[in-house]
Amino acid sequence: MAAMTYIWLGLTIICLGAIVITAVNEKIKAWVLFAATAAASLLIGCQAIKIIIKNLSYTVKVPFPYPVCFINFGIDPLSAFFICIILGSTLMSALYANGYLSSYYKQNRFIGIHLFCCAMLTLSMILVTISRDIISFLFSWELMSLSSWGAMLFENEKQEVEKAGLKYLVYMHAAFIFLAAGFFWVGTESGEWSFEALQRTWTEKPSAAWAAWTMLAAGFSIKAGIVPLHSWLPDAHPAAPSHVSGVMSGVMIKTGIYGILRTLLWIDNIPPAAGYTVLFAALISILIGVAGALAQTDIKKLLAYSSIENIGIIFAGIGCGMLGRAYGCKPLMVLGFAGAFLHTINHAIFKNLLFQGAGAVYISTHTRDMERLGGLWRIMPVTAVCFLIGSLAVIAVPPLNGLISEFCIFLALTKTTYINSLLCNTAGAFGITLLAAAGAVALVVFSKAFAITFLGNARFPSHKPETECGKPILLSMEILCLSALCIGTCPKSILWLINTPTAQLAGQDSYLELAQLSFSLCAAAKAFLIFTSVAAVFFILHYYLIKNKINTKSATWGCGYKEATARMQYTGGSFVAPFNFLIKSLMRHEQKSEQIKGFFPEHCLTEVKTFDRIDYQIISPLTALIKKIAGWFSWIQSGSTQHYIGYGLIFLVLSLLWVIIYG
Amino acid sequence: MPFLFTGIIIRVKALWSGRQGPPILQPWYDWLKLMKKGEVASTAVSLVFKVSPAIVAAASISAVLVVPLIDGKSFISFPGDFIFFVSAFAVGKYFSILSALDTGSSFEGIGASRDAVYTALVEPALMLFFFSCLIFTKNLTLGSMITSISTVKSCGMAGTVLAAIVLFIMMLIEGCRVPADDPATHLELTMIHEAMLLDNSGPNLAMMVYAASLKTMLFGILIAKVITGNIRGVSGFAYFIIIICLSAAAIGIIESLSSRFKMSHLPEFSFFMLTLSVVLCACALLFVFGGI
Repeated sequence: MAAMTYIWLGLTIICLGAIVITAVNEKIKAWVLFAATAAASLLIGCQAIKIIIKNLSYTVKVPFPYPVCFINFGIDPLSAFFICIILGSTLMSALYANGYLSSYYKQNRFIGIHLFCCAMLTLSMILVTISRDIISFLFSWELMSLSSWGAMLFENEKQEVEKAGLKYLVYMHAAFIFLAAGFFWVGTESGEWSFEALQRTWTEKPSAAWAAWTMLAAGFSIKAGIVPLHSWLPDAHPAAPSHVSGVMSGVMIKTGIYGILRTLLWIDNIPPAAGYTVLFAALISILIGVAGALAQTDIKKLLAYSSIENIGIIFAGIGCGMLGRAYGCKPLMVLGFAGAFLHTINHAIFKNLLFQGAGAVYISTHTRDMERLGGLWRIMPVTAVCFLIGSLAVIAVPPLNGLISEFCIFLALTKTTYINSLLCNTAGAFGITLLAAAGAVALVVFSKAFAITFLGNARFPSHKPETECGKPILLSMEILCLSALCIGTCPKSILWLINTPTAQLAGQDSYLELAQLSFSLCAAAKAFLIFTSVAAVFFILHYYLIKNKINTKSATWGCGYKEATARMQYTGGSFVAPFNFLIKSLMRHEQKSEQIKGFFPEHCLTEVKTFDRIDYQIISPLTALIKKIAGWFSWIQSGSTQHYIGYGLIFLVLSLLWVIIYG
Repeated sequence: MPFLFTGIIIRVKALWSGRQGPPILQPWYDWLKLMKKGEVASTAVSLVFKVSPAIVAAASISAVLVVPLIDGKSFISFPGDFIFFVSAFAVGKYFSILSALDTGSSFEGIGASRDAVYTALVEPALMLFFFSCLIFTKNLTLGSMITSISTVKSCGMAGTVLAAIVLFIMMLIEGCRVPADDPATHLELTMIHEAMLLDNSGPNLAMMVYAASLKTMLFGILIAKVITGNIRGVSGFAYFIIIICLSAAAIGIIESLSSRFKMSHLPEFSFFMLTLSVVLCACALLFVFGGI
């Protein structure tokens, strides 16, 4: 019980911090948030780590008025794992917010309300993971949606931010409807509303339970950003300020993953069809996420689509785990779930880092459009190196942490060969090809993101930044870089975090496979170290080779052309042009160009727009249809008080008649 | 050693066209000459350009570490090292693309973007090849995986030939040989790999050239391992060397017989290779589950 006391204490500190934020001076609001988050992290984090290491679990009942009587809260290794990620990410983001918001002071903005929403976001995410009851879960879920919406609308003088906020709110409430439907379906079957009762119902009445599971999965998928329910992501992440984008992309999406994993804990017999559906949805998300990222020129929209891809990778791990449980294959099950957990941590770290880098660029240059930037490394070298390390982590190369988790998921997909089913082997082959292809395309995406923004020469000198960013921004990015490098070179540092949650999902006897995974990953880490040291040796060798020779500097080779300008560099759109076959099939691609006239043309225009095909061709017509149908009934809301009194009168008369006729 | 491979290719091309040709060790002499020179650095480049050649060379060498060379033993071997193999290539490719875009030159941008497409098609084919090997064996180390196709009783020969063809086409694409890319052209608009090296000079260029030759030879080593399979000892090693030399000669002959494909045909060529590896995987699955 003491564990839950510490957690309540930590949550109270965050609440108090949120209230204090509204009262203090503008300049120290963000520091108050950081201090409150740090204190809460110490209190709650230590308990969470203790629970993970010792494989404990606690539940507590909080009394509530009639007719609910009790609300259940609890914590077990799965919840503790997600709490660790939530606290780590929000702490770094609170540190970053100090530097980011400093450029918005003295503009009469509602910084207090914004930071209050950020604190509430942290609070609600932790509450989601410790809820063990339909009421508490739905309440914390709604609080999370509302607080993230509030935190997102910081620059709400811009119309695109308002539109993105509205879209986000609608999607989150659609998710809430799905979740409520699923939960209450099973809840009415079981009679009680605690998660233990739901677990009992699942074993007793499986058919109703699977229909409910589809609803729940749909609701959690909307939050996680699985295609085709992902359309809110690419609009919401660029609109939000970068510390909120980092938290949303790093941990808030993961609460959808947490929800799916929590429902998997209640189910004993998973049919293979469920596993194949999850794997299929994952592979589609990977494909569309990476193709969407390829087409973007806005850095943060590119990172948002990349988040969709990485959530697909996590879902692929979960799908493998579900297939393992369906077929009873231990290695597949353990590696699938372990890979999903590993990628959750790693994605939280490097996506937060990348969003913080993108935010640093936005603060310094006031634009997110990559085609207007270039050559930023000269003025912002630390930001450039941090963004480079983040990119290396995303594309899963040694010696960073992305490879650790993708390694695990590749291994999981190869274990499908252990199962004696042609469908399973084909699914594994398909999965491994698509994952490798997506990895290669992600390489192109992030070479575009880094090189067009930071390398080369500045394309539009008006967007040149003046100085490097402030210390809080750099410090938080450096800490994230160090953790990425640390996990990459020494995987044991997070393997202890995933052992007990994986055992919870895959069965308590999975420690043998986890030990084998640990062996493989540590051997891989040794290979990474060899790679890094060989590179270092070559670099030093190179230094000594050119030391006493004649070295000159000159302009870049221009094939004799002397008047090369910075605008003649390759643009992002041209760089990904060979991939247009992929972009055109998955996204909607519109190109408008003027014909070049004459031998010495003066002016020419080409405009390329890419739209999300699902958003444009499926969801927008659907919302237009809903608006049209709702428009037919708009005459009801006439605005005249007499009409409204008339409606009330008609209702009274009708109910009287009902009582008279039917008794 | 990789220079010997490149030397054989150049010699075979020369002999095919009726010339004497340079000595087989000529690439080695050229490399030594490059290492003794100074550098001309561009004013537009950053630290990324300066560290890229070291990282690209280290990536190729790390990929060699997990491949079995003598008697089925490699320097490092652990379950899942084929994933490390593919990611080592990826990191080398990433840094060569970054160094190309760092110079701010349009030529290097063209080369980088074209090269990126081929990687995107080679990586899944390579993974699918490894998956096909895994259908026949449960051992996840690269050494035992490559040799597993030839050990299959009834259709091992057919599988080996198909795998060798897939790897050969990958060698042509990743090693930047005709018909995927012409290493001898110096027209910037037609270069692919060479375009990415335009601004490298001196020891930098030497390291990039070494990395490229090593990568080409690595695929030759993979082909040799797939074909020789489990034959150990002196005869195994002899077959290994002979097949590597034969694959170099085969590249030379194909380079003499064909010209570089039109730019629009190159993605189709890569898709052809991807389709062949899909066929390989399908055959492997049908063998295990259909009982061919």
